[in-house]
Amino acid sequence: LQKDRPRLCGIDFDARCKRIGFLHTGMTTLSVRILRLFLPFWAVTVVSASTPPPDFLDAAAKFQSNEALALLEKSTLGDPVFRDLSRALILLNVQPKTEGNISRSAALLESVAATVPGTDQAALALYHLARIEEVHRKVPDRARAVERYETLLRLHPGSREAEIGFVKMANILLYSQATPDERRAQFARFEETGRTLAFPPARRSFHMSMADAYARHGFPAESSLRHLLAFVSVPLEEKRDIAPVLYRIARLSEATGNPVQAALFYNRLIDEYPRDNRVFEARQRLATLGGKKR
Amino acid sequence: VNWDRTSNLIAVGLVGICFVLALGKVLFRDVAPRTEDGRSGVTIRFAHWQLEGNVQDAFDAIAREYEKLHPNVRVIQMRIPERIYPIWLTTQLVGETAPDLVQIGIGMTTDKLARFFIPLTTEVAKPNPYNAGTPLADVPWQSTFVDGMKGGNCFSTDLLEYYGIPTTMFTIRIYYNRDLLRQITGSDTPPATYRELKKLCEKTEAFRTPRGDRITPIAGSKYNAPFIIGRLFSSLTMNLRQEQDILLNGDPTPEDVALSFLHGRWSLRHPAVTQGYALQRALGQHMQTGFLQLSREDATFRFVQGRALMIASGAWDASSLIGQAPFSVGIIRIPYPTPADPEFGSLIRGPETEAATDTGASFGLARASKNPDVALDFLHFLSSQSSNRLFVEKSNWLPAVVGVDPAPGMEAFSPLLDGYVGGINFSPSVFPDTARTLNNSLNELLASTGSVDAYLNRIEPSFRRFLLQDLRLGVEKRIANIRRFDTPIATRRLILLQDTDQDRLRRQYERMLESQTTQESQTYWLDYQLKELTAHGQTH
Repeated sequence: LQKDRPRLCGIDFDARCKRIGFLHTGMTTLSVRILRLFLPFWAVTVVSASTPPPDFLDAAAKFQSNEALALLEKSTLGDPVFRDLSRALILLNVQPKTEGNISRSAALLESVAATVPGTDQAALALYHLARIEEVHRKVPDRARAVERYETLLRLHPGSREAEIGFVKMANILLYSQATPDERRAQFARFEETGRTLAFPPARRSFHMSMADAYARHGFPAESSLRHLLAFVSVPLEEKRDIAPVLYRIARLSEATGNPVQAALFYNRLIDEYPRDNRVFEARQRLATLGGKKR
Repeated sequence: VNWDRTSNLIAVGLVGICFVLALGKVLFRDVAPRTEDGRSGVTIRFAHWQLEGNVQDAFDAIAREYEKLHPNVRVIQMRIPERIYPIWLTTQLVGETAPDLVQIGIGMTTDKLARFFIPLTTEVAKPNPYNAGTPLADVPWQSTFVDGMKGGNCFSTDLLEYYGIPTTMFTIRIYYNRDLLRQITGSDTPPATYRELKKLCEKTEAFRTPRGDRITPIAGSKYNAPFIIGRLFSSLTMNLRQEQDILLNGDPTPEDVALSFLHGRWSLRHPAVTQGYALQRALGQHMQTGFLQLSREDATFRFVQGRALMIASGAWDASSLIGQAPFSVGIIRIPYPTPADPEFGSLIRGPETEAATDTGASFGLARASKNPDVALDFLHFLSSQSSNRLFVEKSNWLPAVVGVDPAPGMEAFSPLLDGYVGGINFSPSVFPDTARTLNNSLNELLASTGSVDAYLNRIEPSFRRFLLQDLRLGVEKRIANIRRFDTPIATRRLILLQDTDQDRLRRQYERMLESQTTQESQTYWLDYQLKELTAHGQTH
């Protein structure tokens, strides 16, 4: 009985309660068991609310996976889920890269996904299980990665991981062998799911991937153009070099018989990126369209 | 008198006096830092590999100006030869003895940047205080540079952080000996078109000095020759490259151009290619015999000694060549064939644009710096409009800061803005084996007994194989790079799950995620195409 008595943070609650004559032993045992069930969630919440990013995450964020692993081993951070998830993600890039480390990482990710189902941590774990199959194994298995992404989409719809995972899955499928009919069906399916994306990086990546894939597979220019216009409509928080996209929209607008839109985007390129290599060409094309540089 | 007792007292007294003196010395010691020459203050060191001409004087002039403003700071310049710079820097960084400011570029890796340098991303978003009173007073530091810090190793695309502050920018030009030009042609006017250049080369071949010596029209070497012949090839293949632009973004990737070749959409016998090589041969004929075996120094000596009329090199050589040559040096843009050219005109679009010329000679702030605030302040000063103007005047290098004009006589180095995107270039960084094959066989093209046919006959049998090999290697490299990003992206996400208020980290996370996904799309496309080619037996 003494042995079976549950402990929370190393404290024998039964013994303490008995000592102060507070509650019946059976009641405290049950309470502690319930409390222990919620411990992982509680710990994650407490850790996240109170501590700055651990040094091992800082090192891993700077591409220093070996140092990060060493720091993690020394760290006394208590939450097992957080530790397992961190270790799994760091192991992915520990050098030398071994199949053993990748398998250990996969096992840890499986464990995290099973321990805290339905959480952001679980979504992150499932996403990286797909990434392992996609790029980290010695012999990547993209078909298996697609299955993993499908699972992620099913279990965590609307999560950031599921949304970006969807784009990654689309990239795999759009450049795998398919008959023309299969290809059209793929595009149709991705178009449908793509409309539901809310995470801006996923939306931008999706539109860019679709625009490129339509062009590369020889679909009509309108399809690419539609996605490029959608790409530039997703707000950016900081200035980025989108000169190639502006030029492309202008060229595609020209090709699809929309000179007004073409002129608009040539002008945007000239105004916003005056030192881009395409500016001279854009000016010349604008002149042939009869558009005036503002 | 108890002598023993007295001597003990004296001894204790002496020890006591010594103790008090030592205590006083410690308590009242001067804790202010001292410069190397013993003055009170701090010393800032900056290291670079730019040993050319007057660059040292230019940096020194700026350092002395800074010292005038800040008498407690001593600024020391460290000039390290380019050949040993990467090894020297690695040793200094690992030993935590690196100078405060370090030129970044040669031998720099993502890992070194992350580990040994302080990111300047937050700083470059603020105005440079030393631009106060100028039109750049309220402009973010980043936007005070002509390229917005896009090039010059300023921005790490892996870490998505700014690490370097540039000081100049470089373009490629032809330097010529004005005195010789006058003797050969009787005129001061340099060639403006390819035809004029060709005529000048022929005249130079026929010319003899009063001592009967021959003059080499263009000093060539394995370093200098590609600057001119590579560009001429590029000028003839602009249209061909644009024809391979399946995305219509105006700047097709080298990989897309190569895939197009492998699919048989163009060949080495395409008129643009054969004419491009013919143009290379036509000009290569006017370089000294065996120039492909010669080094940069060989070509430079030949020019400086007055044994060659022209040499092609970058703006970085301006101060050396002008300073060392005992004659007046002129500078011209590389003369391209015009659309009216009888031989090459039909394939010419126009000159190649230099609008996107990057800045360079950038300095990063080392984590090992004992005075990072002072070092950063000096970096602000170094890259202010007034300092850049001083730098340009003293070094004859091009300005990196908006609103600063090139030094008088150096205007020819200003980037050409009105031009087209360049043509085909099998760069060694993307196509190592293909580029090696092309270069190793150049003697078949450029030797007096060579020809375009002989060159193509030599490279054609292996060209396709090497191109495929390079593309496959490229896919592997890209996938390795994509993998590397997973941990840094995921750890950012983990940190954000704990603390959603980290706005900068969130933006980094999102940008990295997008950049990785775009790279994947391009890589899978390449991989898919290579598999298609294999499936259709088009790999031989």
